[in-house]
Amino acid sequence: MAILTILFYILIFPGLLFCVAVGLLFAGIDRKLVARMQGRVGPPVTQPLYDFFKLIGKETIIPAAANKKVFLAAPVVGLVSLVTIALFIPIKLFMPFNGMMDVVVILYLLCIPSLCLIVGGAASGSPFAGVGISREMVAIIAYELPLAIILLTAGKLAGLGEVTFSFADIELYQAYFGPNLLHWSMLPAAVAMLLVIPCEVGAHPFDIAEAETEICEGPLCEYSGRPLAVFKLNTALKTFIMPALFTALFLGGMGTGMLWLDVLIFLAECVAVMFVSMTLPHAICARLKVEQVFKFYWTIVTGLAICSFVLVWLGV
Amino acid sequence: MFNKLIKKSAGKSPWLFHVNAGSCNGCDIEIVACLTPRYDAERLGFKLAGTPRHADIIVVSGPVTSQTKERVLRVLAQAPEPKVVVAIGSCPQSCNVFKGSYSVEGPLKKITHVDVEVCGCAPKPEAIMAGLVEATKILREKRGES
Amino acid sequence: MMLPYLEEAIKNLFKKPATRVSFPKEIPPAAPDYRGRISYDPTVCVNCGMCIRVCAPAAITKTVEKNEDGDDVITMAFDLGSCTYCRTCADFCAKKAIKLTEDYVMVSTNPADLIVSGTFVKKKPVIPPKPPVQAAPKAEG
Repeated sequence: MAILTILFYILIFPGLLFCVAVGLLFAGIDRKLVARMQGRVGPPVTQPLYDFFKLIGKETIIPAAANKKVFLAAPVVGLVSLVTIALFIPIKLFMPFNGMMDVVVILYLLCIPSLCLIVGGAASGSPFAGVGISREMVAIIAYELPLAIILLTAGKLAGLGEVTFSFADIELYQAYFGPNLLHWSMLPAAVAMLLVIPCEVGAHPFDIAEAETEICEGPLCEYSGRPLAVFKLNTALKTFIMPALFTALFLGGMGTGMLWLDVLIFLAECVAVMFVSMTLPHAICARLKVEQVFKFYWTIVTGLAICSFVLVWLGV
Repeated sequence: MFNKLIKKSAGKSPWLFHVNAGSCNGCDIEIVACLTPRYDAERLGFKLAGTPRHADIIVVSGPVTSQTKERVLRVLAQAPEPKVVVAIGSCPQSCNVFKGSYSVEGPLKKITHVDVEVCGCAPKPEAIMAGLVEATKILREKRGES
Repeated sequence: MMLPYLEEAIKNLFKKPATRVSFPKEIPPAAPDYRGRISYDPTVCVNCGMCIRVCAPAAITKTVEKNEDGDDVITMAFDLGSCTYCRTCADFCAKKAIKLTEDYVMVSTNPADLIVSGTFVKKKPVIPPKPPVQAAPKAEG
């Protein structure tokens, strides 16, 4: 019975099916809102679903220069790690899997989809992918530092004196003392997190690695058909998981007690976070240069995160 | 169920790859105009893809010059099936005023099968969109038989 | 302000989009004097051939066949896939048999649909019987 419950968690509710459905929906909402903000009608909200199934139905071409196994396995590994992250992110107080160190696990797992992009791109043997993966590496180095500091800050605040790496503690802290967003010392960290989200997802102003007009979509250059569909699904999943991480870190707290209502509130909060952090910059900004992204993250965003960290450490 | 969804999606998310085969840029800006708020091709699922590997519809503009002929052939070979070739403007159909020039190897139908032809010099964005909608119908047919 | 379009983007969310939503179903009219699909009226054409001479992309072809009566059957074919829509042919047409209409959606999957042609018969000229040759008047002496 316990195994069945775990399987249900992994395959259906906070796991695979729920994630994929919500991720595709979020990607659709994102595209629709961007279009509306640019004065267009925009594609239907179900458009990412159509894209996904169309790509499933297309021919898969494996380039002659590619390492076939790595080329095909990379997107799937990314998908698996993203679904695993979704299992660890608490929805209010609903945590199917919690442990001592799940924040660290999430930090490491968040790296894997980007690494898969790098590995897959490198396996395809295309020069455009080569440029793309070097840019993706720059992006990873840029956003990993502030992200780690933000998670550390949240852990320090919730640890009450010592640093905790357990999401359960962070959620319980928020349940007692109100959402972290209301602590003024956490505000810079929240802003920094909002700025980390688009880079992690590869959304517009920071999509240096997948610049389709300059370097032919970078690492995805040689992908077609099913592996490409899985990569697109990974991006859609990230669109949901990164705002969900923000919501869990900063907008957590006491749920209503009813799971379905909690989930609905959680999703509404995620949409709001996605709107502020991804949709709005996408609609009004042009793509930044590689060095601009790096500079921006290591000065402004890291500065904000460190500012919050110091404030929390001093206990003000 | 999946098969049904795949069949339904085939015509609903056509991604374009645009090849400039020596065009004068007139047709190219009209293709970009299709994506502007006024016409908004994205509401029908159209999207400009960055590489032929992602494309469903290959949009060709310009008489095929001797420099671009090989590139056009390579782009066509790189696109995965099912794909549709759309010729935009008079140039790929007949070389237009460049007929008989020493540097022109066109028209496009000499080197590949052209599915949809959109006339005009340059065609209005509405005409291009009508042509692309026609191309999605062909995509759906091709998906249906395989 | 670093983000100049922020205000506009938020405003657009609550405005009607600028898109012509009805487009693929109904086709909006073209601008006045738009140069679109060629229409050709063979009944007023005088077969002067001026349009062929002025056509830069050589999109107009004339074919002449003989029918059983010995009359010329003349077909003028306008290849829309070759035309630059410059309207020089219509301007030079003495009888205004060629016009460029405002229909601009010329989309086809079959190149044969994109040829506008018209046929008319040019009767064999009736040669009047020669008057009998009269003997030259005698030179008066």
